[in-house]
Amino acid sequence: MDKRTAKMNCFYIPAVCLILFFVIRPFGETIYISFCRWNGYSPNKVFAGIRNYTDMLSDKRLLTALINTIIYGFGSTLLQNLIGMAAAFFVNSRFKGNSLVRVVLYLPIMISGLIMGYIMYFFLTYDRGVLNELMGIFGKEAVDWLADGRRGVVFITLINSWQFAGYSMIIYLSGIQNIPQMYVEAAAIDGAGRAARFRYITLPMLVPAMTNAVVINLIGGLKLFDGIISLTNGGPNYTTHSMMTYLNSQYFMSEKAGYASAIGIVTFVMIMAFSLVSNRYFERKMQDM
Amino acid sequence: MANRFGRFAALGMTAAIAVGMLTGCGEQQAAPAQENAVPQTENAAETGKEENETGNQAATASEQTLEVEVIYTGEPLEQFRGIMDDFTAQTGIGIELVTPGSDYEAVMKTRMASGEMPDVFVTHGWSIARYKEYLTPLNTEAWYGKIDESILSIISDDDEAIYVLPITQEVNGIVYNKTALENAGVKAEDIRTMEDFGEACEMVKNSGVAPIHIGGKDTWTAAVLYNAIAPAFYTAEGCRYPSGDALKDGSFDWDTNGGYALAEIAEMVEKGYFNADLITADNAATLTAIGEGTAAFNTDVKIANVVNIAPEAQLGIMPIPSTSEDGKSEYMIGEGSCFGIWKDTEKMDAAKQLLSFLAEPETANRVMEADGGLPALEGMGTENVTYKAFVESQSAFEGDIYYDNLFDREYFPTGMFNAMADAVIEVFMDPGDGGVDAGVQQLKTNYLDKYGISE
Repeated sequence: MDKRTAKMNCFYIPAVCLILFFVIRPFGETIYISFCRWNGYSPNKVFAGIRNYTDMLSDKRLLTALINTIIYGFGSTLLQNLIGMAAAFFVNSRFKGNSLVRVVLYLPIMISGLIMGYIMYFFLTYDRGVLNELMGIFGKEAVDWLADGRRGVVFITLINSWQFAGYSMIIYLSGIQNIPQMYVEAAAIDGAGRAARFRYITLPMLVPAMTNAVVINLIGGLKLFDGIISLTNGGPNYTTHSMMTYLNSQYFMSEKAGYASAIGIVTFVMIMAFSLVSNRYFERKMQDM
Repeated sequence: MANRFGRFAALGMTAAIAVGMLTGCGEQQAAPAQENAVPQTENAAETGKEENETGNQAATASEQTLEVEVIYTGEPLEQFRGIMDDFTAQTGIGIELVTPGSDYEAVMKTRMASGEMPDVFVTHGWSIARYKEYLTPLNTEAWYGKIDESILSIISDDDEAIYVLPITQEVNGIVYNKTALENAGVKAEDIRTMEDFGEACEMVKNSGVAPIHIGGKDTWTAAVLYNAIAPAFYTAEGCRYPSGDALKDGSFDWDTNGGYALAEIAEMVEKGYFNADLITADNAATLTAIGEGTAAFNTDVKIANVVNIAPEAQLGIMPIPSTSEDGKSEYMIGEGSCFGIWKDTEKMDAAKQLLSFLAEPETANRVMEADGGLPALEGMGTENVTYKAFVESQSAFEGDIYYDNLFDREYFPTGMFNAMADAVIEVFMDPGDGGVDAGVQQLKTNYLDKYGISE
C-alpha cells in the first residue's frame, strides 16, 4: 500500500468507528442476549444456550407473524411497483394538472406511517367508522372490519402499498425519463406496436429503476412496524403482527428480551437474504440487457 | 512542505473526529440524562437560565437540573409542568421534564437495562416489585408521617421501607354511568355478588345499552379486566377459591383452579354483555361510551378521564362484587402519582427537595387535580370527582368492602401483564372451552416461566 492510499484510508476511520459503535457492537450484544434468559432490564442475564431459538420452532404466533411479514413484504412490493409504474407512465404524459397529480400521488408519503394507521383506523372502525357510515347510507349493516385477522393483513398491505406507491412512482418516473426516445421511435418506425415497444424497449430499460424500487419496497415491507401498531396493534390475538411488531411485544410487553433478540437475529438474516437474492436477480437482468 | 502540512492536517482532523466521537460515546454513559431525554422532552434550559439570572451563580447548570420522568400526557402534563416551573422559581433548581407517554414503561425498562435512571421518576404501581433496587429509601423524610395508612402498606417492602412519595392513590373498581343504570332500573349498591352483577348486566342489555365496554385493541384494557375479576375468585375476603399464598409462592395449581376467572369472562361474552367491537375498539371509544352512557360498566377507565370527555356525565364507582354470598366486595388500591429518587443520583439533595415540595399540601393538591386520583397524604383537599364517587360508594357498601393492592402487583411475578391480556383476548376470540383453556395455558406458561419453573 503506498502512502497516498494509506493516507486516504485514514478517512475511513470516522465511518468505521460509527459503524463499530452503533451497528456492530449492538448487533454483537443482540446475538449474546439471544442466547440468554433476560427480562430486558434486570442486571442478571442467565445463559440459556439455544433455547430461545428452539422455542421459536413451536411458537405458532411467530409463524403467523412470519407469514404476515412475507405478505407485507412481497404483497406491498408487488402493489407498490405496479401502482408506482402505472402512475409514473400516467404523470409522464402531458396533460393539464400534471404537477398537481404528481403531488397528490406523492402526498401520502409525507404522513408518518403511525398517523396513517390511525387515520385508517378511524376509517375502518366498527362504531362510527367512515366506511360503516357510508354503508349505513345504503342500508347495509356495520361490519367490524378489523375483527378478522386475515382482513386486517389485507388492509395493512393495501394501506402500506397506497402510502408508498408514490415513492416507486418517482423512481420509475426518473427511469422513464432517462430512456432515450430514439429507441422507441426507431421501434415505432420498424412497425412495433405500443405493447411491443413497452415489452422490448421500455421494460428492459427500466430494470435499473425496478431494482431500486423493488429492494427499497421489499425492505420497507419486511420491516413494517408503525402502521401495524396504530391500525390493529398486532391484533386481534396476534393475527396481524409482523416479525418486528411481535419482537417489540415480546421484548417490552412480555419481558422476554432474550427471545425477542433471537427473533431479531432471524428477521435480520431473513431480510438480508431476501434483499441479496432480489438484488442479485436484478443485477443479472441488467447484465442481460 | 505544503504537501507534508496537508498530510498532517488530514491525519490530525481524522484523529480529532475519531477521538471526539469516542469521547462522545463515553459521555453518553456519563450523562445519560441528557441523551435519553429525546422523546417529547421538555427541556428546562430556559428555567435554568432564569435561575442563573436570579442569582445562584456558583453551581453549574448540570448540578442545578434534575431529570424528572413522568407518565402524564395532555392536560395533566401541562398542569404538572406548571408545578415544576414553580419549584424552579422557588428553589433555583432546574427541571428537565421527560414524558414518553404511552412508551413510559418501555423507556423505563431501557433505562434500567442501561443502569442509568432519571433522578426522579413516577413508579406507576411498581415501586416495590420492579423499581425497588433502583430507588433510595425515604422513611426518614419529614413527610413520611403524613402518608395515608391505606397506601402505606402497598408501598412498603417486608422491612417496612418505602421508596416513593405517594401523592395520590389509584382505586380500581367498576366505574359506571349512573344514567344508564337508572334507565335500566339497576341500583349499583344492590350489586354484591357476581350473580347480582350478571343480573344487572342482563337488565342493562335489555335496556338497549352495552352492559360492559372494553377497548380490546389496546390490549392492556383486557389485562385490567382480568386484574379486576381474578381477585373476586382468588384473593378477596370470603372468595370462592382462596389462593393468595399459592399465587405468591409460585405453587398455584393452574390446571385445577386457573380457569375460574376466565370462565366468568367467557360467560359474559357468550351472554352478550360486552360491546360488539370488544376486540377492535380502543380505550378512547370506552371513555366516550361510558361518558355518553352507551355503555354502563367498565373496569379500566378513570372517572376524571371520562369527565374530561363528557363533563355532564353522571358517574359512580363500585367495588368488584364477591363470588360468594358471605364474601366481601373488593377495591384494589394502588399507586397513583408516586415519585421515587434514583439511588445513584448525584443530585440527591435537590431530588429530596423536590419531593418535599411535592408533599406540601398545596402542591400535592395540584398534582391530585392533574391525575384525578385519591389523596395519599394527610391534609390534602378532597374536592375531586373520583374522591366524591369513592366516598359515596364507601358509604353505600359500608362494612362490605375488602381493600387490597392491585392483583398482579401483589400476587403475580413482574412481567405477567401481557400474559393476562393475551389470556383474556383468547377468551374474547373464543368464549368456549377452547378459548378458556388457551387463556389458562397462556397464564400458566408465563407464570411458571417467570418463576423459572419448567412445566
